Amino acid sequence: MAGASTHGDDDGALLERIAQSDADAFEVLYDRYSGAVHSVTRGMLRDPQAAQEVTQDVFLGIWRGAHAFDPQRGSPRAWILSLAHHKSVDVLRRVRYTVVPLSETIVDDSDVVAETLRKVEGVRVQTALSSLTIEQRTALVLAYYGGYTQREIAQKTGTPLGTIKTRMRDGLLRLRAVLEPDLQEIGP
Amino acid sequence: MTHADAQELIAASVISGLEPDEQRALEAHLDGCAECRQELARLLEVSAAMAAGLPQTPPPAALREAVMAAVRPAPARRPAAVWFAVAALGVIAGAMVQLAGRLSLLLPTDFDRATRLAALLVAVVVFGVVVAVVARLFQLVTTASSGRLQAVPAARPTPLWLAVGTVIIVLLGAQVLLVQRQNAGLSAELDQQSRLLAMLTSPTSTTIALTGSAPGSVRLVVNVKVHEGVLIANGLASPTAGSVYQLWLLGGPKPESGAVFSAGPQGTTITVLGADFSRYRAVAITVEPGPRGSPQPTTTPILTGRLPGGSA
Repeated sequence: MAGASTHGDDDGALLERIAQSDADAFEVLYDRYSGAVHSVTRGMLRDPQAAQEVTQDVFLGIWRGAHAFDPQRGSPRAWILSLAHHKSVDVLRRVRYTVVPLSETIVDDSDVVAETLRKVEGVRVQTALSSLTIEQRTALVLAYYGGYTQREIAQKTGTPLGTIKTRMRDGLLRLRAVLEPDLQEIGP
Repeated sequence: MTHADAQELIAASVISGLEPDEQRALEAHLDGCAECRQELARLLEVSAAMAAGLPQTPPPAALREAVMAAVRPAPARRPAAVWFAVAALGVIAGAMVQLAGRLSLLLPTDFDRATRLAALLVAVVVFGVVVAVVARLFQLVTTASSGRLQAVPAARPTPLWLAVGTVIIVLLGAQVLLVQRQNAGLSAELDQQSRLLAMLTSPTSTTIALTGSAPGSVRLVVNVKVHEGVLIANGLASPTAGSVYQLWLLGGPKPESGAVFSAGPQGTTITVLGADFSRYRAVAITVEPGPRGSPQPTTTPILTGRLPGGSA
């Protein structure tokens, strides 16, 4: 049986133990984050089977890569969710590049953004997104929920790459300000 | 990559907006730049909040099993549960064998084939039910003990395993039944033989040779002290079909029946008699209608003999 402290351990302690191949700690972490991780993979990928495979891949990645977690680069939760997002986007891009080139799928910016935004259900996030300028929203939504790179977005929207970078950064900072109460406190 | 370049890439990085080569270059810079790491941490929380905007869909339970199976080495057969099952089966098998043994003692030693088959069938059915119950318990125990593991589906006792176990136990039970029956028969035989031997060698026994018209050697060993006698016949021809030999004790007002017997193979017969031989003068053997003989002699004796006290 897992040590009595396992369920009370914070995420960082769990990751340290997982780095030492502690399966009990891993199990606790799975139960804590499998819902959030799968929501990302399933939300990003239409195919439920593919989503399950990516979710599994994310957790095996945590099991093998927990030693690479660096608390200076983000909270455990943010790290885990970004792993889930990265891996989902990888799959999305692989499928997209082998099936239809990006330029042929996008007819109109606003259509794509609207289409992509349908993935978003959370009211708080929707409200926060609506507080952005339309350009910022387009850049963030296409990147995060659509899985497009900044280069693809620049090319697609006919906007200089530097401008896209700025919109992304400004948009994220704006979101951060709006969502502040929800965000976990980060160390100095 | 300059610090300024890195700062530009961090935002795109947290929303997975970088090409692989850009991502690698950023990682390399982050390793040596605490300020950029802090910026990354700050913006990563925002992307995590964007993740929370996606519909909440928990993964299927089976995925947990698959993930845990990949992480945990397969448990080594849960020894405790296995030993529990083996011990339980052993105890039950022992009890069944014991029961079968007692059952065989209760049954008449000459119970027929059909009865034996029925008893065996009942034993098999009972054992089958018991095995099923134990298997279910076993399953529950193993499921409970592996509840935390999840990766391994509950061990199911295979039909082959059950079949082999059942056959072995039934064979063992039948074996024990047979041995017990043989034992019972042998010990009865042994008992009779030692009584015979005791009587034949006892100093208080007397042997009387019976004489008459029938061929063969017929002797009566009597022990007046213990009121017992043994009739030993050799070469005595079988009586005609439907008839038996009957031994009469003479000396009272009427002849009394002492034994009804038939000649065995090769005309050999050993028949034990119980009587107070001091009360009689002589014995006689007649041929009477079978299978129970007659209340009084109906034919002329074929053999007669005088008892030791008979001269008095």
